[in-house]
Amino acid sequence: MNRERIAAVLVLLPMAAIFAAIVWFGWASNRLFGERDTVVFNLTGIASAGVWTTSPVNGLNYWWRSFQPATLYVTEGDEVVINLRSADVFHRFYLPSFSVGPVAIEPGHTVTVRFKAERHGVFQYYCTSMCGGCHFYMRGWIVVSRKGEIPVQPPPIMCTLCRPEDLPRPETASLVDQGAYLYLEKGCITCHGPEGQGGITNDNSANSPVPAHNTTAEKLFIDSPEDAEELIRLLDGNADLGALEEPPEIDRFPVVRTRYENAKEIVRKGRYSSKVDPAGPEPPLQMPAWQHIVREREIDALLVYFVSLYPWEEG
Amino acid sequence: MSSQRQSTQERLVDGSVPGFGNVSVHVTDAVHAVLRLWPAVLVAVACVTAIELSTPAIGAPGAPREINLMARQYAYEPHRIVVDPGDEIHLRLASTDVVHGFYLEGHDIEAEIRPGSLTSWVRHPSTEASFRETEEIVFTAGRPGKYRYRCSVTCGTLHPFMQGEMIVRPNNLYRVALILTCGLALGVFGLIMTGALGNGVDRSARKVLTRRVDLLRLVPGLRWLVTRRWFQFAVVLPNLLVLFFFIVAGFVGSPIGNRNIVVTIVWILWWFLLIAVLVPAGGRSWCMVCPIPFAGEWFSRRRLIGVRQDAEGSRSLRTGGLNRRWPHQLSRMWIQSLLFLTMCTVSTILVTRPALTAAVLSGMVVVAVVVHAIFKRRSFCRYLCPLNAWISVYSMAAATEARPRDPGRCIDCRDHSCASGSDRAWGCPWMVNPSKLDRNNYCGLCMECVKACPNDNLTLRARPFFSDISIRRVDEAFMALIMITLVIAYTITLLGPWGTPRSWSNVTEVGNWGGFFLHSTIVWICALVVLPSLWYGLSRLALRFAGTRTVSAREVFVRYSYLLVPVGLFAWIAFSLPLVMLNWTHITSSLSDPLGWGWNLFGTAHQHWSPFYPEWIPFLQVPLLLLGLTVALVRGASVARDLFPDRSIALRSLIPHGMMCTAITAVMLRLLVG
Repeated sequence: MNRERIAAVLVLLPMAAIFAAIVWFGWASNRLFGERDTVVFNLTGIASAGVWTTSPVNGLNYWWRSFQPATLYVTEGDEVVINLRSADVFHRFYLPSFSVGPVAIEPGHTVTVRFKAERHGVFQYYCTSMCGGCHFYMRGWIVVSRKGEIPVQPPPIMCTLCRPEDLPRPETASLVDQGAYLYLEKGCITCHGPEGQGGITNDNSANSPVPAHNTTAEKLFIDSPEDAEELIRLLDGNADLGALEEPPEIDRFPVVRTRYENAKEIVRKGRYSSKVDPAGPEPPLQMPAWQHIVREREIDALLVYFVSLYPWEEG
Repeated sequence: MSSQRQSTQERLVDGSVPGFGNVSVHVTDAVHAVLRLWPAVLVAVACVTAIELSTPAIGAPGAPREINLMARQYAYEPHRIVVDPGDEIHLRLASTDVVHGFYLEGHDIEAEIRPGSLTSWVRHPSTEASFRETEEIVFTAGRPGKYRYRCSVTCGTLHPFMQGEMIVRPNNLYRVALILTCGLALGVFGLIMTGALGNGVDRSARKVLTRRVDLLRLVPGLRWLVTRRWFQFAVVLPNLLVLFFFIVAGFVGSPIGNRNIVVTIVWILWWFLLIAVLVPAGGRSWCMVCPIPFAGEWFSRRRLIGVRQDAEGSRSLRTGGLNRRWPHQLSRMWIQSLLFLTMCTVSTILVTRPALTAAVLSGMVVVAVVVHAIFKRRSFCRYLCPLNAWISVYSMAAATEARPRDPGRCIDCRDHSCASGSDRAWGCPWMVNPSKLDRNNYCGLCMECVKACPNDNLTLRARPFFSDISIRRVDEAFMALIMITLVIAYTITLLGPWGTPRSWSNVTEVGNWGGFFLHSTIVWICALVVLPSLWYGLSRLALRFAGTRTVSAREVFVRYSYLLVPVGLFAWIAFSLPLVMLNWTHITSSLSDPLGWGWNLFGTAHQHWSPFYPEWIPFLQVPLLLLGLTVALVRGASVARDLFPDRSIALRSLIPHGMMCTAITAVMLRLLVG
């Protein structure tokens, strides 16, 4: 009988020890041995939801929980430490306002960054490595408030793709509707603003705010709503602008065509935003090269959508 | 020639084959029987060669080849590049979704592909530590052969399986391997039939099969060790603690498969060790140390070490639980086979999600407790454990066996405590009769019978590989057939360059239930209908070839399924080999950081992924597959001799199944090295 008891202890005691050790490492050690006078955040990037979250992400909850983007609240003058992890793919963390990053977050590695919250305000942090469909929504806020002040609460940046009710399928197959859908689906909206209105600032970028798209018609040298409609009609009919049998009824058509091709080329190849202050941080928002991600026809759809956005009445 | 062939055919059909003594006649018979297959073999070889030669290469030979390679989760487009040796290759890489890697075996090239960028970052891993930006990667194609390119940046759940292949023409290894396969089949048959090897099969093969070494007498202290009551507890305990830790790690650790210890150890290391070492060397030795039924067995025995008896000290051992008999109707391996098939259907998800692995492991523990509470002894292991089906079939190949030393002594024995238990030991938990053990299939090597035997007549013996050669039941035959289908399906899904079957099987992420259904249906129908029907058809054919009706087609179907044991086992080893050679760094890094929480216990947590001589993997796989085929044919000859007393008939009857095994080997060769 004695032997049985020893055996049972040999089974149960190490099990309890293993369990206790994991709980202790995962929860208590952080709290007990965390650096004093610092505010510590654990941020985990999740590509499938397009968020950086402060919730612990593990094998169990990753597959069913809907994670919320984290808003980090700190007080002016705080030493802030952020432990960055990835729950799935390669991410890049960037907080340009405090010159943190961009740092590569490889899956399985923990990267610790630290900064002093010297100025108060509401700042955005980003993922700057494309990480899937939700990538462009993968941003959050850091709110630095003055001591004693009630911090402002910016609305969290939610991924449209992950909420299908916000992303209805286009009702018609028309190119404009397709473009409107793609504008949301590909995340263009996150940098170029709702309905192409622009106005999104890009830290230290020579072309900040990010170019608007409701003026695309103007940039293509399209002068009248009739010309715009004609261009949309042509492209909707899958016409090849370079091989039309007779010139369409569009003023200065060769110029429009060249400008159109140039615009497409920017979408295909992307565009680098240079710095205003060469010593300053890298601009966080860069136009990626879309040529391997969207099809030619989809670029047409997007451009046609931009042309359709031009506010003719006011002009 | 044609008249000779016809005469052979007639003789085959009417069954008037001359018997043993007339050597000259049966030699011509044999040669003709082989010749009869020449057209089929020629057509097969011609087809393969035609496919091989007709593969279009890009651009003219010698000229620079421009290749645009697109990476997406979890495949490359194009999935196969064909070039000539010495070609200058200009490679442009692009990604459509997330950051991917590109590692080309044998060419010292590793790159990082970032989406939304027209450039990639490249380095030579053997000499450079950091990547440099480049528009295109320029390199010279190396020696002829097959090189895979695979993702080197964790890019999601199926990252370890994201790969494509580059063929530098001519793929000599593949051609040589194919010719060797065909030659081997014809050669073994020819040698057996002309008598050069055949006589050997009759006499010395039996001698080989009876050669044994009594390990309990040979190894000092081994008998003492295995007869200790605490022996099994001591070997299970470490595994039990590891299992407990793994289950916790799977649930609370990182969701990334290759950074969580439960996935890296269980599905990379343990699976490989089970297939390549534990089963071939020790048979069901895993069952001896398996921690899954520990809790259930503890509950039903109410003892961890000792043997329980009731107050009177009689032999009727009262245990915990209801102690019912397992229903006879369910006592075949069908449930296990179907459970194993189910597990394999979802295995792409299972082996990449730590939480699912942990859930399945803990689920098995819970089911084992329930079964132990209702049914007697190790009913769970014998009748429900999905892995039992796999281990059971392939343990026949093992070099170890537990057997009575002298079966004659067991006949006189009135004690039977090996089966029913005594105050020294539990009755056989696996519900076999140890005194009649003659093959490994259902013996869990728990060593209780060695402890029980009053005459010290049970022992553990070393023996030649593949010594058990009799598959006796239809369910066992089906298991062997299912395993063949599964190893081919796995090789296509997990090691193939094709993205479509991979995305079908990855349903929880991709959400394509139609594709998943199609994928599972194909696998299930192949495993349960197509291959068995084919095998049965071959059995009918075998009887026609033999020209005799002394045995039924069903009997041939069952007994010849043994040929699939060596073929299958070596195919599984060839399949598992790359998993561990490519991903060994995942094991070392997750040992340092088992939960993916940023620990670094042994300093290896940040080790960069670097495969172990991946370009040589095909050179290891080819001999393995050829060895499997050889063993199948040679041992198959022994099975045939058991079935048919006449040697000539026996060997002729082996031709259809032998050719089928050759074809299976050729398919595996095509998938792995072609």
